[in-house]
Amino acid sequence: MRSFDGERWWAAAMAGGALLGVAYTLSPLTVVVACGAIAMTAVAGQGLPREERRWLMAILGVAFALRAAAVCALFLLSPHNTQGAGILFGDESYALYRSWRMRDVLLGIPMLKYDYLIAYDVYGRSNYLTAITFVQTLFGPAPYALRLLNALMFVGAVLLLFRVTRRAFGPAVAFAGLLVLLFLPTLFFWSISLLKESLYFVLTAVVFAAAAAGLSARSWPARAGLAVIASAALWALRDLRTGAVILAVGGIAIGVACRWIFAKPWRIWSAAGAVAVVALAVVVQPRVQAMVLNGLDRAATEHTGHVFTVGHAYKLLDAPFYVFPHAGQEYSLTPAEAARFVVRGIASYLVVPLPWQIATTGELVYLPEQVFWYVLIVLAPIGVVAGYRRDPMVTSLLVGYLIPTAAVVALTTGNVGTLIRHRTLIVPYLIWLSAMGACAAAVRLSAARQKP
Amino acid sequence: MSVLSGRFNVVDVAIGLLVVALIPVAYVAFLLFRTAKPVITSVEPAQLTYIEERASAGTQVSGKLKVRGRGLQPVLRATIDSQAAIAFVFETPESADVLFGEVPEGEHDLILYDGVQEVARAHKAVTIPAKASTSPTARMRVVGMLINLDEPTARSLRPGQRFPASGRPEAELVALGDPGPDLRRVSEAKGTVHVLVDGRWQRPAAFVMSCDAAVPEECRVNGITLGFANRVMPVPGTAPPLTIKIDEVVPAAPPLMADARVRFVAHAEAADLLKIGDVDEGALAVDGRGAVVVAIASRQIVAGETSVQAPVDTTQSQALIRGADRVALIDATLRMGVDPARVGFHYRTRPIAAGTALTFTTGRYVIKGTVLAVSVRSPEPAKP
Repeated sequence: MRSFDGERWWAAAMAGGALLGVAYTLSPLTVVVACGAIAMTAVAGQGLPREERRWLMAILGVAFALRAAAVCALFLLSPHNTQGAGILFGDESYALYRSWRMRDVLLGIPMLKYDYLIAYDVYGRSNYLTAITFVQTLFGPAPYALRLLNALMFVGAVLLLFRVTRRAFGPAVAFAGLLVLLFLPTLFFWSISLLKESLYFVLTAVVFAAAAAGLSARSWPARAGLAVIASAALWALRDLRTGAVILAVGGIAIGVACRWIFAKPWRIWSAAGAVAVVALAVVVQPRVQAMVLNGLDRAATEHTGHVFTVGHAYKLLDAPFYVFPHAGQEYSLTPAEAARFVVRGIASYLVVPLPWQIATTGELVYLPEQVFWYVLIVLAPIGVVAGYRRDPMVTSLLVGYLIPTAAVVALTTGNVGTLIRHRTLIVPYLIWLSAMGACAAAVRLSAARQKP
Repeated sequence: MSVLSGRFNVVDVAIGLLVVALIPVAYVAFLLFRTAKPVITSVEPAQLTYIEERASAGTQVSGKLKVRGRGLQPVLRATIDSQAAIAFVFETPESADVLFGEVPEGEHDLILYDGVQEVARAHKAVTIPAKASTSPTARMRVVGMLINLDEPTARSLRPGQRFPASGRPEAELVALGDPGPDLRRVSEAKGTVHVLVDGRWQRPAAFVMSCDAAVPEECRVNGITLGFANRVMPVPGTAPPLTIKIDEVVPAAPPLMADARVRFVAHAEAADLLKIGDVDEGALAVDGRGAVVVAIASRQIVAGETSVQAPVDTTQSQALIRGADRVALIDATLRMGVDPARVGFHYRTRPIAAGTALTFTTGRYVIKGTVLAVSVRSPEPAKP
């Protein structure tokens, strides 16, 4: 038997083991997530230079610690009972309570008719609910540890994008984007929420990273493996958000098309010609025009559905369309009305809410982030040009990922809160282009100053 | 192994220190993780609204309780004595609603469970008064098809029969059509087909039933909402139960007879289809309400226009194809049973007055027209 003489580690090991046991008893999922966070932090820096690795570990340490502190504060401030959950957003309670009901069904715990109705309701059914039900069937109801699990997924997604963009744009851009994504307040609270946003983000990030790696991979087995990973992520995405798979696949397709077109000058001219032909067809071909207008009519219906609900609304159609409030109204826009609708939609997507349009305390709190959004928007075009020179494929994929989501949100939203929430979906992809733009602008300014 | 004192080694000391350290840890954990037991402080009856309909999903909601207390939780299970409630709807830790179905009259305990564990009980907190004093009732005439009958039963039915035969009747058979083979409608993706059920019979019938009108805009029999076409339900009071497929629901009182002058519009070639004696079979015509053509004043062929829907796909706007055509204008007088409504009269489930549209359906044709005038012929109730 080995002697303890002269050894000091055993005391710490015993205390650590006892504390781990206590922690596992109190919240087994928290211990599992903590192990995941440690493993993620260890793996995230592999292959990076020592200094960068040190910085990355420090940033991740702070990110995890802040999230754990926030969840802990939520726990301390909430009612302490078997179902206390410290709800941050209204939709959280629906997802959580529904998952508990689904868990009760699985475990054969008696329920009321209403509970079965909620558990089996088609509305709101998603892979996220299935996932959190499964986790809580394994570990027991765990509202706070689920927040930590979501935070782990969110940080994992950020790290995936960090590794892709570091290889593409270099460490400065990657670290700038990493810091923003980990500590921007809205994204911070998203990451610890019980909403499906973290799962959505990690799945779209997996699709993006797999596409970026697959398109640059040289071996076919590697490409096939990445295609399988991307397909699995798309399968999991299919019911998380309406059109999620179309948006992700469409984004990749647009990115690949952009890369292909901008690779040769003649392709650019050909693409410009094709765009002109399509535009002409919209103008002169009634069938094509009707197709486009029908799509915009449906978008207008969605838009007014948002306008004619409670909350701070903004309008994209001409004023007479809002005289008789009616959700689900069908429109038949003229080409001129449709054009004005599209232009207002794009402009509103970029600037709403303007500082003088702020109507609620929530919007006032959001104001600094809104200003930051303007900065991101201004820097992004510079970043696209500079990024394309560094890594055309990743830049094209980032741009491709932004366009479909932005277009859909721009034309279908009519509520400021909803716009902000859905606009934040593209920030994790926009940020790298804006960071690239900031770096390129800084280099240009610095060079200009150094000129005699 | 070194010894720190005469009787304790380092392991002993470490274990002792660990135990001492665990005491505050355990206390803090107790403070943080102890479950505040739900407490019911009051239970009061609450007004039912339309919103409860979703929570009940078709089950009759007999009442709603507002439960106030402390430490109420989102997913609890409520029972009234041993009978499960329909829903426990959490609002806040201090307030929740309990929806319940049929509960016997008297005083009952309200019990809350977390899973299978009882966590709160309010003794004699739920009082269900005698039914007659709480549930407003109405009488309605349910017109439909009795299905799945054997031949002797199909032939033995008589108007005036009451169910049950003795005691307080729950349903009265007021009108009957002829028995026939049991022809059932079967739905498939593109529409419906009708199939014959071997050895079974069906018979059009109208019953007057008492129904519970506690919920606005609904009347329920044994928890089943009347008023849904094609709803299949057991006729209350029948044993063995007769099954009726509801075709329409109208007031229990016999209809008033009315004459309506209607101008029908049809293709010129269809002008001769409408004949005196034709009966509107839009719903089963067993209750005296179905309109009958009693006179045809004129049939004119005039220049007009025909419109048909253009075939379109999902990318195109709806469009009509129009063409000049000859059309028939047929002025006819219909005799029908109408029911007094809040404003004017209803023919079956639709208002009828000068200017309203009317669709006349028979096995041979469907024709549409506009009502030109209505006169209620007699204030005397018509015979069913």
